[in-house]
Amino acid sequence: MLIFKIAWRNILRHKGKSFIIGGILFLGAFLMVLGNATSNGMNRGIEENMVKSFTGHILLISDKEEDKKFLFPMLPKPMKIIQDYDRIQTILKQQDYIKDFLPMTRGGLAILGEAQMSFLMTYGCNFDDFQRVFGSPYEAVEGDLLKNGDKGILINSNGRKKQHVFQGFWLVPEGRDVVEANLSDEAKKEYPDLAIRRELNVGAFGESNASDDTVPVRAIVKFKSLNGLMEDISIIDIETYRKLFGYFTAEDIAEEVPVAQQKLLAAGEDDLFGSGDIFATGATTSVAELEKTIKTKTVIKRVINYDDAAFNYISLVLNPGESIDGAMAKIENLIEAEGLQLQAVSWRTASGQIADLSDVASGIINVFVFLLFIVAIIIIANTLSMTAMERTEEFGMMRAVGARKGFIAKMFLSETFFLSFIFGGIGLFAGVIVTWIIRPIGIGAGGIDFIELVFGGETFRPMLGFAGLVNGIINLLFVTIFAVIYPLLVARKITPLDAINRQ
Amino acid sequence: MNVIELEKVEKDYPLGATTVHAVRGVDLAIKEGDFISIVGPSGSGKTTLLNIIGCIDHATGGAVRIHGEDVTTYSDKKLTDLRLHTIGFIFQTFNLIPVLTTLENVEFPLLLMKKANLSKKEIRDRAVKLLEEVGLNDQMNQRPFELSGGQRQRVAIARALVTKPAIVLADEPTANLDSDTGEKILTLMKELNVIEKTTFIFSTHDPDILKYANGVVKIKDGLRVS
Repeated sequence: MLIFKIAWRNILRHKGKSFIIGGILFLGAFLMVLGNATSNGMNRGIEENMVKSFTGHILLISDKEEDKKFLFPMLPKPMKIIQDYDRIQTILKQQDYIKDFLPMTRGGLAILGEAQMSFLMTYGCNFDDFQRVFGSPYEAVEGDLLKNGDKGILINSNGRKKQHVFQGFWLVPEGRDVVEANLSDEAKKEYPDLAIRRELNVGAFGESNASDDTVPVRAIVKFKSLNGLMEDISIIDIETYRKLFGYFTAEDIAEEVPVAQQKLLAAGEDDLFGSGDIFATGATTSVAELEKTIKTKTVIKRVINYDDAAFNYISLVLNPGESIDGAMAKIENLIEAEGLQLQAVSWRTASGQIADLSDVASGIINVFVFLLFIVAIIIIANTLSMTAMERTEEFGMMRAVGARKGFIAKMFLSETFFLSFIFGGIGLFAGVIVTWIIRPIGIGAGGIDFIELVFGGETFRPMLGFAGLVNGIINLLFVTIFAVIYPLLVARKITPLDAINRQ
Repeated sequence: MNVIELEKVEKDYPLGATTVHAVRGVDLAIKEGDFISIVGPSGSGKTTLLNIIGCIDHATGGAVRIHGEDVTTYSDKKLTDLRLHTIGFIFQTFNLIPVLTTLENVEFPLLLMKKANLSKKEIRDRAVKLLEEVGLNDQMNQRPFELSGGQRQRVAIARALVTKPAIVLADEPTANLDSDTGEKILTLMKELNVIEKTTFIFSTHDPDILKYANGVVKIKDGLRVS
């Protein structure tokens, strides 16, 4: 109590120095909170706009796959096929930490133009499943999104502009007309003589084959956020992808069904219970006909299960609150226990450069906060050291009348922690308030791709969770502790004789 | 019984390439209840000797015994505790804690004495009593900067006596006071010496205040001359 009383009164007595130290602590705490909020906001933006919308938290690939940064490579190599997907999906469905999952393929397409060749990253999937798992991140700008069984490719709206520059033609969805309002500046100059294409002649290089084919453009799409960064990414229906890259398609391996079974499968309840054509006069199918066809061995149609054929990776979306590290450990144990020929990769690893760039931006903020720490520590330590030396008489006299070194240290620490608590606390509070004000308003990226990546989306919204606030308090404590160490040693070393000599 | 014994005490200071011999083989024995004055010209070594006796400075040679124990080998912690429990110090320039009131300054050493297990009331009562004795009844809640030089020195005396030390050391206690106040201070110290049997050792080069002492130690060039 005595220590606190002396410490508090000393703070009031040395108002000038208290304000210098307090001001630095305020600024440090304020910027630390903002830094944390910025970093959190970026990470949250990336998670919302990339992880939950495209990559998933964890990706499973074949254990034979060597390149773990496979998702957005500069030069895409064909990926290995995942073995035994049917069993894998059964196992994945039983895991309570996995919210949903989606098997996909990934490859590079060469767009074969008349003038030159350009490239497009393409991802094959069952698009309805994609929209379900990733919360419908794609919207059609022109045309219609793929539905189960539809064949074709979805081209990014920015990617279309890029292809126009490379190839000289303007892509329009099959069966649609040019939407003038959506033309790029370059395309507008050429309009109405603009070369229009509604399908792409593409070349694909699989593991053991190369093929080319024509793929209809189904829609021009926009990714809900980070669209600029996704410009070279196209979505293609899974079966077209498999055909292009020389994989078995679901149709290839579909169960062979005799025509009679097929007709039974195709028949509705009404058909079977009397009101349908099957028993009606003039029906296309009679019982006698069915009996006849059952004996026929000729296969005329196949039942297609898209999940039966080739996939390159499986995106796992975790339940809210699940940590990626924790889920990674669980999934790795699961792979080992079940003997699955898989390996688990976090979205950061799989995303390669994109995640690296995001990390760089986050790292820059962390370095800035770290430098702020260092500068704050140096200034505070310097000011406190001067204060300690100026108070030689006071400390020396206290020591002369019986105060131990520990008492002086505690008193000095108390003063510094009071300042830290008051000014740092105000700084933290101010940081929280500013974050709270900026978050709903947001800061636009101005359509600049890199800024969008840094912001984790088109709009930056700083975010400060409880962990961020605790982190800020811990950082403030570290600054205070590191700043006070040297001055504390100076204060502890002061002897009664120093005080007398000073006089 | 000797409260303090100095045997061939030496104190050397390095000063550049040379060594200053501040105290040179001083022998001294002080009994309980003595009121001793150490006199000598400026730079003779009075303050150094007083600091060595008060465990504020270390002797570079010889032995310093307080209550028969050689304190030259004591750790910093033991020396601090010795200053707290056995020795009271009155400095030339008062040296009060600026942020504490008169009463709190006097209470300060008692608050450090955790082993004494004194209650807050006991501490307060003892400090108030001493301040009344030194005539500061009306200044108890004032801060040091609000007091005159004489009043501050009386606070310093009260603080030095509040722990009931066996020895009180005063380094030129009247040097910064007018003669009237100085006389009052010395009278007070003498009264306490007689009533409490506290041993007083004070340094001075003022011949007028020697009349209060029952023993005089003369120091010249670091040597005891009488």
